[in-house]
Amino acid sequence: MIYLDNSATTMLKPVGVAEAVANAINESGNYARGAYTSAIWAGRTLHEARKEIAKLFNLGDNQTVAFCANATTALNTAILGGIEPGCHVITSVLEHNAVLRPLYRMQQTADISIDFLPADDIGNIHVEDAKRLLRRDTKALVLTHASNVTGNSVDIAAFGKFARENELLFIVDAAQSAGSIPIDFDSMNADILCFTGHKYLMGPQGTGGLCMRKSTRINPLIYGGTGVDSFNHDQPINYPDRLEAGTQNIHSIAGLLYALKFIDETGLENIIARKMALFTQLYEGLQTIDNIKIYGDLYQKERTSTLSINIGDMDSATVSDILSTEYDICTRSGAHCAPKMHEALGTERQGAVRLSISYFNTERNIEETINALSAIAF
Amino acid sequence: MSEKLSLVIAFDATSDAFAAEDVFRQNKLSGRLIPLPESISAGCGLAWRAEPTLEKELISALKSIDITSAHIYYLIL
Repeated sequence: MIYLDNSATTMLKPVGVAEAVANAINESGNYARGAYTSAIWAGRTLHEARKEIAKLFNLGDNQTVAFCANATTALNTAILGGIEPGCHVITSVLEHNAVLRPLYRMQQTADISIDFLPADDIGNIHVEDAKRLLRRDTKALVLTHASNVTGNSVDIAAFGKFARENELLFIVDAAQSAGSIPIDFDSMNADILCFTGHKYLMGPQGTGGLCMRKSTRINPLIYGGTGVDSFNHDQPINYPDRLEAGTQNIHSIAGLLYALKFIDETGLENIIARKMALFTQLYEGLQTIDNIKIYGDLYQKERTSTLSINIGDMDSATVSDILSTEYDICTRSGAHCAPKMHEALGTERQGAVRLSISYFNTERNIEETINALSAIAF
Repeated sequence: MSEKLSLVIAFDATSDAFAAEDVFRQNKLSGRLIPLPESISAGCGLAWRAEPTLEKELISALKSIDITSAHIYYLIL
């Protein structure tokens, strides 16, 4: 099998991640529920994982990581708990439904209004459009760091500067970029950075979180036990505890911790270089095939190793199914939970075949994929 | 078990308790995490128990990681 749906989840994890999860199942008690050995083990594991995330995203001492189940939970927490009712919000057509649906929900229940930054022909958005959409009641900017369809990155630093100058709450969706593009939380001017652990951080599913300043105020999405302050009717006032109600997924976080150490030891720059070499091999190969249309900005200095294509006017689902059944190549067809991106690309009916590359793919994988697509396109 | 005077540090967040344990270990400051004594606050949580003579070093270590809101107690435990 050739697995090229890494933007959905990386299936091949660093050797040792699964063992770390199994070990945690045998060793871990419940975080913050006692000072006995196995509960302390859980606490140390969570603390080490916070440290590794902080190191990877360059967080300072006054910033923290609140863990949750995935990027969707993190984005729901940030959007529903951080954006004030009745305000105007700027977002973009690049966004995933993990951003769009909480915003639409707030449109219905909290009277917010939304404007969307448009994308140009190759799927990029521009800060000049944000300046044009800015209103007196604009209070928040919510943007992905990288499109899950085209792989294009967004100039987050420029948008962060815009957000800071206009005192907007700036929420960044790093679901696709974490592990694919270097992230410096401070230089982004982001208030909240939402990530997942199971995509390009190569950890287990069920892990994700929010990076934030301890002074940023976010209302919890989930209310319940935290192991502290039990007689308080509200969640604890301090972060990250305020956002971590319920039993933490220490088993999977132990696996994520192992994956984060793998990234640190391997070097993020080496991981990115490896993925981008394979990405270049893929798009250069596909560019030689008539009838294949490639979407996105292939020549960005920083982007993810995700590529979306179509073959003529073939349904993307048909192409993806042929790749699976005849070549055992795993890809993602359809709209990728990013409806406005597909509207912008003109692919809302056809969808697109998404090929997303991980550190553990090989040159041979890419060569066989090019050959398969060439045969389908012929 | 004989009772004796202990220094107990209570934290505003559980995450701070584990960050404190980490920095104390790095600085080779002895002590351990204990369940938060009810005489400090009812309702569970964690605290750090150590020898009273270590107060200055413990506070210094906490400041080094920007934990300035920890609460110091002396208790017979």
